[in-house]
Amino acid sequence: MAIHTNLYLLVFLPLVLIIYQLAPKKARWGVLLAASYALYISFSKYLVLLLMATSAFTWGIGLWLDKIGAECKEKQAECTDRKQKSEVKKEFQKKRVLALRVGVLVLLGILFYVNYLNFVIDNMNILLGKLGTQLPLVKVMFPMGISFYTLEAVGYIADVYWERYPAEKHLGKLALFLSFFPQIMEGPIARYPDTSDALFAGEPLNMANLNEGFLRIIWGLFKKMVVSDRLSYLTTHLFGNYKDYHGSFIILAAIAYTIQLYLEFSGSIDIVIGSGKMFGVTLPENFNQPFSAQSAAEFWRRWHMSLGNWFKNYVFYPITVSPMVKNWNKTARKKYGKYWAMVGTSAMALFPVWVATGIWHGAGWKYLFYGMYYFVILLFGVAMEPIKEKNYAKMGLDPNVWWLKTLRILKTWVIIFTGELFFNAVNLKAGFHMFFSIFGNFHISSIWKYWPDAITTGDVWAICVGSVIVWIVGFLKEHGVDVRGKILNARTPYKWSVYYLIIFAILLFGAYGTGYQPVDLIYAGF
Amino acid sequence: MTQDSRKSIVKLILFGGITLLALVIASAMMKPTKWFDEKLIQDRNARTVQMMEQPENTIDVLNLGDSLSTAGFSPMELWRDQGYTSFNIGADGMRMNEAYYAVVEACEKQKPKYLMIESLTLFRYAMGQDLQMLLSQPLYHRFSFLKYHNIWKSLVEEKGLMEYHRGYTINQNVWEYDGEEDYLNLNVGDSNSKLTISALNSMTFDRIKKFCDERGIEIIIYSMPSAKNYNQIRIDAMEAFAKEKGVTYIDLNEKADDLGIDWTQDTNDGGDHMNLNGAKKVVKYFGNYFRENLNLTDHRGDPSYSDWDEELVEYDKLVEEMDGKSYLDIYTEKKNKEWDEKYNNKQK
Amino acid sequence: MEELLEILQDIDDSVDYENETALIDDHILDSFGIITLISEIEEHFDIEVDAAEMTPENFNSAAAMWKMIQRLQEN
Repeated sequence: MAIHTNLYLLVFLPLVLIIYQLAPKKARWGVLLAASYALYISFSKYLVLLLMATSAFTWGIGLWLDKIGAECKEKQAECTDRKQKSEVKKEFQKKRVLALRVGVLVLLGILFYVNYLNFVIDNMNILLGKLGTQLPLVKVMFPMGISFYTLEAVGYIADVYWERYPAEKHLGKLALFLSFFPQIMEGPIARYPDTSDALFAGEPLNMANLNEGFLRIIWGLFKKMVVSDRLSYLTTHLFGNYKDYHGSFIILAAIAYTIQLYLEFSGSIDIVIGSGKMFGVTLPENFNQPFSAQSAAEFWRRWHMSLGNWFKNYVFYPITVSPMVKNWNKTARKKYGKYWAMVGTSAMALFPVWVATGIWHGAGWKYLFYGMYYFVILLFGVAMEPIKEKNYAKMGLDPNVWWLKTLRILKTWVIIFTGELFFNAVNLKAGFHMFFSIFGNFHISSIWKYWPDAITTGDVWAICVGSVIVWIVGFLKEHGVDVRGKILNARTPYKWSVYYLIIFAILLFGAYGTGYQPVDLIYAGF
Repeated sequence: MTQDSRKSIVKLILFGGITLLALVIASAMMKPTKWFDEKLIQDRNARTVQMMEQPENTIDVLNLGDSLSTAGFSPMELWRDQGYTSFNIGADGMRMNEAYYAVVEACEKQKPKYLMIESLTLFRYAMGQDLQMLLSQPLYHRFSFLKYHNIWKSLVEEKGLMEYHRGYTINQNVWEYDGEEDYLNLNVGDSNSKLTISALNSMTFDRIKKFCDERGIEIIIYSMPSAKNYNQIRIDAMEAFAKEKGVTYIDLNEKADDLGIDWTQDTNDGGDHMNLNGAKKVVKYFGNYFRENLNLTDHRGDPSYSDWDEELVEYDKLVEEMDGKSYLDIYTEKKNKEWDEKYNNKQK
Repeated sequence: MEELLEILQDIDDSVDYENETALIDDHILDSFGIITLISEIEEHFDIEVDAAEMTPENFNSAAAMWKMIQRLQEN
């Protein structure tokens, strides 16, 4: 039962809200946990046991880390001089590192087994094929949301290891954090302090939260049903029959897919965050007008933010301050100067981040390419930064003048569209085929002739008008006008008018009905 | 309960009430045939809408099912052969839950005597989707605003090409089936159509049966000749099912030779669906079967059924005009021609 | 503190470090700025900044950084 289906929106969510409200305060977290597991079972059946086991394991590692810490403090208290103290600390530090390694390796091991093992075997078989032997593929079931909850669990263990917060003693509380039902399919990836207290508190429902959550949910549905689901017919057709199309059509495909992905992903995240809000849980935001970004780096600070933050906190920074990189940095500063040391260090920290970001989306060469694509662009951006500044100064230009900003935004769009073209191509080979065919046979008029029948004039109207509305709301937010807040603070008749307007726009212009297959959530597959 | 929470509940109920009221009003206004030319509606609702436009109590046989049923049965041919009135109320990929409401809606103004159900629909099942439909279909049925919401598209789109003749669309495309002749012993079945009949589909069938029993409608289950969809396992399963439910079952696959089905000529997509040739043979068989076994009236010559004769003339004219093509062929031709004209004009 | 401010000015001289309290949260200091910053303060103050210290709270303002540096020097 995915979160965009009527079963979830009209039955499951209202039912959980009612049971939650009727339950005594102390039992409410239990209601949420039961609901989360029920939803999980509807996707992945008995694999819920894996989710439960992962939760218990994560909980255990946390307690283990805490125990070592406590023992260390005890022993240190017995010591008299500083030297002894730091020796004790060193000794226990070893144990802590062991606990951390066990925790992270087991969690990532499961993820690897489920997501990547067959990909590795497949590619090894290509090599082995020359020798005449073949490894058998393993049969794996996909546990829904594993890419999301695994990262949350790893983050939790790392934070406990770094003593950013104490380990959670209550198994149920941690289990709820990892499995909270709106989040389990598509994220956002939260950090433990973000949501755990609100999830566990069992605060009663209130009108302000219900209103905010409701508005968020219908806005998400509008994005998904009116625009994104209609675009999906076009992109499925173009990407599926990519060999029949070239030139302007491929550009159209890349732009259409980017808009589709954004509205679909941000729309379903709206539903997720709205659902959480109804229970008084504020989930982290995942998008912040990504298409206003003036550089690829800024784009990634505005797009799938919870994933970017996770990689920054648990991969990028730890690598940056790791002894190896630091030592290299020290030597390089002396040998090559500050600039090259910075570029080199950035490369060392960025490379693993972008390999991981790429393959996090799935086992496949195109995802690895997608990661490497951004690695190169971001590293180039870092390297050019000081040079760019000098050039602006030399030409006497203010880098913040409007037309330079616009140019940078457009440049970033090209980077994004190209990236998504590879991201959604059938495979890497198809991606390159599509990319190079852009430059051949460029006829705007051919769009009209070969227009896929699945997209009618009406669809085009709905897509365009819907996109413009979403764009206006985003534009206003970017310029400090909080449309959602204004609606929520308005008097009831105005507020309700907006609700009805959105609801009936969805009911009239949404892509749904018998014969329409509800379009699956893209990020739920990762 | 505090005053605040009481106020909240009143607000929630009021909001829901207004939503419901708005839906009721919008649905009352959304009478497709009132505002729109019924020919404008080209999606899967087209048949339902045209069915509702039929004069009261004139349809004797309803033909229900997925695309196998609508492609292989032409009511105009049955009229020509036997003078019985029938209507295709099926739709592409129809599921049982949708089928139930198609029957209910068809019977709003009609008192048919027989309901034929093509059996593949009974095999179609995917738990997730069917559970969703359990919720959505009653809503679509109660609120025609939801069911016909796509109608706004006909305001911005040109009229479609497709003509429906009592729920049948002419398709004369020939694409031979070149697979195993003894297809009943092959394995078939994809993710959405199974080899057994699910409990949910069986329950929905019971609902249809109950509805029909109350109105004195007799149900006949049949399997259209289709090399791509039928095998012995399915036919045996359906036979057992029909026996259990106490309804007649006719399998046309075993009878395909008797019908004279020629797999090189009678299918429009390589053994999946019948084309017009095939449909004529199927109808001929059913015509004889109906005459011998069922209690139906030959309405030919009855002045109140003269619209059937008029439509038959149009239908025959169109069959001749389309000359072995399908609507898709004609559509593609039209589109290419329009483009050539536009492009050549630009060149000049 | 003076030394720290000098280092910061060197990375980006358009920021008012004495009053800014959301250097990280508002992305005034980006990840790459932090790379330079850490190698500079490790060199100047003879400390080791390890992964556990990499939190926004420690880098959001010059004052917070100064506090962290002092704490690390004590250890």
